[in-house]
This record gives sequence, structure tokens and C-alpha cells, in this order.
Amino acid sequence: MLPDFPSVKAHLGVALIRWTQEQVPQIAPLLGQIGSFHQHEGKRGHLSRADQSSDEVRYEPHRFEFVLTREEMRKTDLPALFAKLRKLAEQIADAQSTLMYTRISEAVEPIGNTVDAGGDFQPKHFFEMLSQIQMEFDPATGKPTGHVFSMHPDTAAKVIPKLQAWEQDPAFKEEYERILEEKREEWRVREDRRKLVD
Amino acid sequence: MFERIVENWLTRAGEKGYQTPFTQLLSIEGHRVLQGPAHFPFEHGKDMITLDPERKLNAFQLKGGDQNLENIEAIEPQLLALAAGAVTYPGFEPPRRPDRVALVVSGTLTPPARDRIANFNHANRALGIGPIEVIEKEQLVARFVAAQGGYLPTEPTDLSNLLKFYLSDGKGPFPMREVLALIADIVKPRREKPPNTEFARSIGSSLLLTAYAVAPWQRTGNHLAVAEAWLALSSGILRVASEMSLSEEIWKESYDLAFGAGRAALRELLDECAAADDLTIPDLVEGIVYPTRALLVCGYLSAFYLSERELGTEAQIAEPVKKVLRRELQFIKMIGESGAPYALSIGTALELLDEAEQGRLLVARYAASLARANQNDSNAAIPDPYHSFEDCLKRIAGADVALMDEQFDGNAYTLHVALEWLARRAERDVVTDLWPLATRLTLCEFRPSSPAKYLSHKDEEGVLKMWQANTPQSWKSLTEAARALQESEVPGELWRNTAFLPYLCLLLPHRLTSAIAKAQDSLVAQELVAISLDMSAPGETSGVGEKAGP
Repeated sequence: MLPDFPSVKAHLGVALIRWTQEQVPQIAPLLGQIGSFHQHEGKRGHLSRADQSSDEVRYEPHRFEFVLTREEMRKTDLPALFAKLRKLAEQIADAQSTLMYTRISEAVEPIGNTVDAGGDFQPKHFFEMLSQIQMEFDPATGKPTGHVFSMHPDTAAKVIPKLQAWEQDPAFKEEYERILEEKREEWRVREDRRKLVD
Repeated sequence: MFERIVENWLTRAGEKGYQTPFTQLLSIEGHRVLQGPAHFPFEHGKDMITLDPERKLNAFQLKGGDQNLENIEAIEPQLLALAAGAVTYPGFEPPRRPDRVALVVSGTLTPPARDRIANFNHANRALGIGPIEVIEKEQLVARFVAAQGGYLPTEPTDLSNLLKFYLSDGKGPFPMREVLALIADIVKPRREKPPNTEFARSIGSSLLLTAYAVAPWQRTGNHLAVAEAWLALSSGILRVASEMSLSEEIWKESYDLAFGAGRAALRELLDECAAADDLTIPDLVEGIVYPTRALLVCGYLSAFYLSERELGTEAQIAEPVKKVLRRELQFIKMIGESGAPYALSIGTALELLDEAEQGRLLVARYAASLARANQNDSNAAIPDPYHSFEDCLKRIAGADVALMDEQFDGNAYTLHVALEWLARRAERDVVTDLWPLATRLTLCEFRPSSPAKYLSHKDEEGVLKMWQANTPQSWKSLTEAARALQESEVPGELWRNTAFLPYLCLLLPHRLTSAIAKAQDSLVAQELVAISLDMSAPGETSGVGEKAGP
């Protein structure tokens, strides 16, 4: 047995794993906006929502490859290690994002909560989309909170200029405000229900 | 190696330190224990009375450490009472002298002391009084090792762990989970369907191992840690009994011994705390840990009171418990959800000690602080009940602990339990104030796969239930749900040993569920909980927000 430095290695190991996990939301910012939860025992979970819907929580194992050859081990310093771990974080971010979109599709498609623009995204598609989602608002400012539009970069390149142009159109703005007010009212009703009654 | 540990343990164990294991030793050797370790004025020199396998009546006087002539002269009246006094025990009529008597010392007798006993016996013989046998350390070591049977730590890792516990300084918390894991590993049945005698032996061995492991905490007088150790063992025995459907004759004697040792340690804790002006252990950073110590001590003393109430012996401890609670209540702070069972325990005890308002205020404050702290995106969220006080304190101190990587905002495991506790007491205003906050959280509860698993630290077959509180929530249905309990949700062994129930969630805070809290309240006042006897599947009921409401 050759001499070793186990406590230094253990400390660095923990720090590097934590650093890798911290990279994931930087690579996929949307994941960073989603809370995480640690289930300490048992392999099953069951979620019941306020609207009485419920789901089994399905955990899926993921495996990622991280290779460090003996030759690399002899000369890999911390910056080089960070570079390799960043690649590992990219794999994790990719897997988590894919799983998230899969789960969203599984949830919305069977109940028809989808909008198909057929490759030509128009204001009506945008408004239909807004109408179908539940919106939350900041009680102090009355502005919508916690909503994110997630698009493929190619789609974003086409859609964002369109949205910017539509925003200049008074009719578009009026319809947008009308839907927003509808959503605000729905939110107020929901908020008002957060109470005890007889 | 193990022999050396036992020898060293005996050398350093005071009288109290080896009373319980010696009783267990006799039990393993086939004695029926009629009277366990007792120190009352009416004990007539007899610490223990047993019926041996030959149906002979035995009486024992126990002393800790080496004994010289002076020591023996000091206890001569006790020795005379031991040998000449009659045993009065229900079922043994008329009272009669024991057939065998022994002076047991955990050390050795000096030659003059041994000579004095011989003379004492010689003089007594002329009066028709039987001789006093002397049992010393060397014999005890051999008997303890033999009693352990096959349930010995023989693997280097087990021995190393036992040594690690044994060599601890005894100042910190008792490493309950680690010790119980070690014991479980050593005493697990060696074959698939072991006979009852093997179960009894393995349970008895676990008690002896606990005695060795807890020795450092016993020596430093860390009564709370000692109590935790014995109560954790009691819980382990109940779990095995419950899971294996063992008959009481296999495990009850060991359980009673372990539980009795836990009660004795808590009595010492109470005496220490009541006699002191505060709970301070002077240190530069004492202020950081004091509120948690206050919670820990008050929680255990409250559970002690509630448990003794089940045994009908609470009257003698009521005043000192009340004194400590009233003095320390103002210093208590919650640093994690593992504090919830402590808060409920203190709140319930205060209620019964004519301080109901203070008790309800404490629980209401806990519920309010949890509901606010754990809101989504909060950076002040407190850890879930799976994390010990020590880890929560380390987190506050910035130490690198596992829970640093976890997020706790948006979830709460114990809020619904606290709200139900308040609802059972018709505290509608408090619940009304907190309900909007509760509806923004995901409420969680781990439902064990069987009632027996409530006594287990981990259950991989159980299911984590998560739900959102109803919007709106009917107060009527909330109170109804908060009061409804199916008997089958709680392990039968807990219903049969209700004195243990107040301790369960102090030992295993993540086992504080709606059902267990209701069971605990059912001991307090019958009108608080309506218990139904239907036989539906356990683990599928209760959970205030989940089932109650429109």
C-alpha cells in the first residue's frame, strides 16, 4: 500500500460533486427555477393536488459516464478536472431537461392542453396558449409571476421577432390585457379560497 | 478482546451502571425476576429478588467497584437484612427468608473484607441464617460473556465500532442510529425460523450490548443520552416483537428492563434540571446551542410526565417537571422539523399541568414559524424531520453536512400535524390565520408499509404522501378528520405499551404522522380522538388536508 491522503481526497470529492451539481442550473437555467426535494426513505411517492388530481411520483435512475484514465490521473489538475466535470454536468442537465419535457408532454397531451401552430405561429396561437394555462400574480404589483416560455433556439429565432412586432399592435395589446385580466380574476378567486369556512 | 471490554466496563461501572445488565444476565441464566433493581427504604437489603431455574428464592445486594473492610462494615446492617429478612412478594405466602443470598460486587473484595464476610456467615449459621455468597468481577465477566452466547461482536468492524462507542467521552448526543445498527447486526437471528429461546437470547444480548455502549454517557452523568439509549432499545424490542408477532414471554422482561433503565435516567435528568437554576454548560458559543438543549430537555421531561401518567406514577414528578418547563419555555427555539414532536409533547404536558395557554401558544408558534419559514423560495426554510438537531446546528454553524445540499422550501412534514393538534383543541383562530400559508406548501407524510414499521428507523417499502391543503377548507370536516383515528393505523404493541408512546417520535421524529399524534392525544383525553376499530388497510387514512374538506 502506497501512502495516500484520504481526508484531502474525501473533502475535494464532496466539493467537486457539489460544484458539478451547481453547474446544472447554469447550463439549463429552467431547471434552476424548479425546486428539488429529497425523499429519505421508500421508493414510492404519491402527490395529490389542490384541484383533487393526483399522480404517482415515478423516479427514474440515470447513469452518466465520467472517464479519467490512469494517465490523466497523473496530471489532471483542478482546472482540467473542472472542465471534465462541466461535461458531466452537461450530461446531467440534458437528461433532466429531457425528462422534464417528457413528463410535461405526458401530462398535457392526454387532456388536450396543447396548441399546435402547424409551423406558423400566429397571435391566436399565443392567446390560446395563454388561455389554457393557470397564471399566478404578484399580490403587491399585480404582475404575472413564475411563467417561462421555453423554446428551441431555432423556434425562438423565428417567434421572438414576431412577438416583438405584435407588441406594437394596439389590438394585440388589448386582447393580451383582456386575457390577463381574466387570469387575474381567476387568481383572485383562487386566492380567496385559501381560507377556513364553516 | 470482547472479554477485555466487559472487564473494563465492569471495573468502571458504578452500582447503577450494571444493575440493569445484571438483571438481564440472571434472566438469560433462567431466573424469573420478581423484583428488579430497587433503591427504596423498604428494600430490606435486597436490590433484586428472583426465582432461579430450581425454583429457589434468590436475593441479591449489588455494590459497585472494589470493596474493602470499611465498605463491608458500613453495609453490615444491609447484609443482615439481606440474609435474615423475609421476602414479601405477592404469591409467596407466607413471607419467608430467601433460599440463596448473594452480595454482588463489580470489583473485588480485599482479603480483610472477604474474611469479614466469612465471619459474618459463620456467626449467622448459628442463628439458622443462610450464608451470603460473594460474586466478584472475575465471575461476573465470565458469566456476562457466556450470557452473550453467539451474539458477540466478532467481526473486526463490529468490535471497532463497539470500541468507538465505548471510548467516547460521553458528552455529546448518544449515537443512537449507529449503536442500534450495530446491535441489530450482531443479534439478528442466525437462521430463518429460530426457536423462541433464540429470540429471547438475542433480545437479552442486545440489552447487554447497549449497557456496554452507553457506559461513557453513564459515567459522565449524561442522563438524557442514557435515557435515549435505553428507550431506543425499548423501541427496537417492540419493533421485533411487533414484526415477528412474538409472545410477550420472549421479550417483555428485557423490554421492561430497558424501559425501566430509561425511566430511571429521566428521573435523574429531572432531578438535575429541577435542582439547577438553568441548563447552561458554560462556553463562548453556549447561546447558539442553549435553545436547542432547552427544547430537547423539556421535550423529554414532558414525555416522561406523559408516560408516567400512563403508569399512574406522575404525581411525584408533576411539580419538578412544571418548574423546569415554566423556567425554560421562553428559551426554546426550533431549528428543524425534528423539533415538532418535542413541541407537541411540551404543549400537551403543559396542558395537563394547568398551563394550557402556554402549551397551545408554543405549538401555535411552532406552526406559524414553520408555515412562514418554509414558503416557496424562502432562504430561511428549516430542515425536514429526517435531520438531527446536531446536523441542524452544524448547518447553522456553516459546517459541511449532507443537508447543505438539500432544499426545504415549499414543503413541510409536520405543519398538518401541528394544525390538527390545534384543531382538536378548537383553536380555530390560530388555524384560520395559518391556513392561507399552509395552502401554499406541499404537505408531506411518510406512511410506513405496516404499522410495525413506525418503530423502524427506515422503511423502503413505505410511501411518501404529498398533498396540498384544501381551498377552502371546512372547519367542521377539519376537526372531524383531526379527531378520527383507526386503531389499526398504530402498532398493536404500542397500544399494549402506551407508556412508550410519548417517547416514540422523540426518538424517531420522522415517524410523527397524523395517526401517531392522534394516538398520543388519545392518551390525554378520550374526547380528543375518536378511535374506530374497523379493519381497513393501515396507512391509507388520515392526513388532514388530504382527506378532509369539500
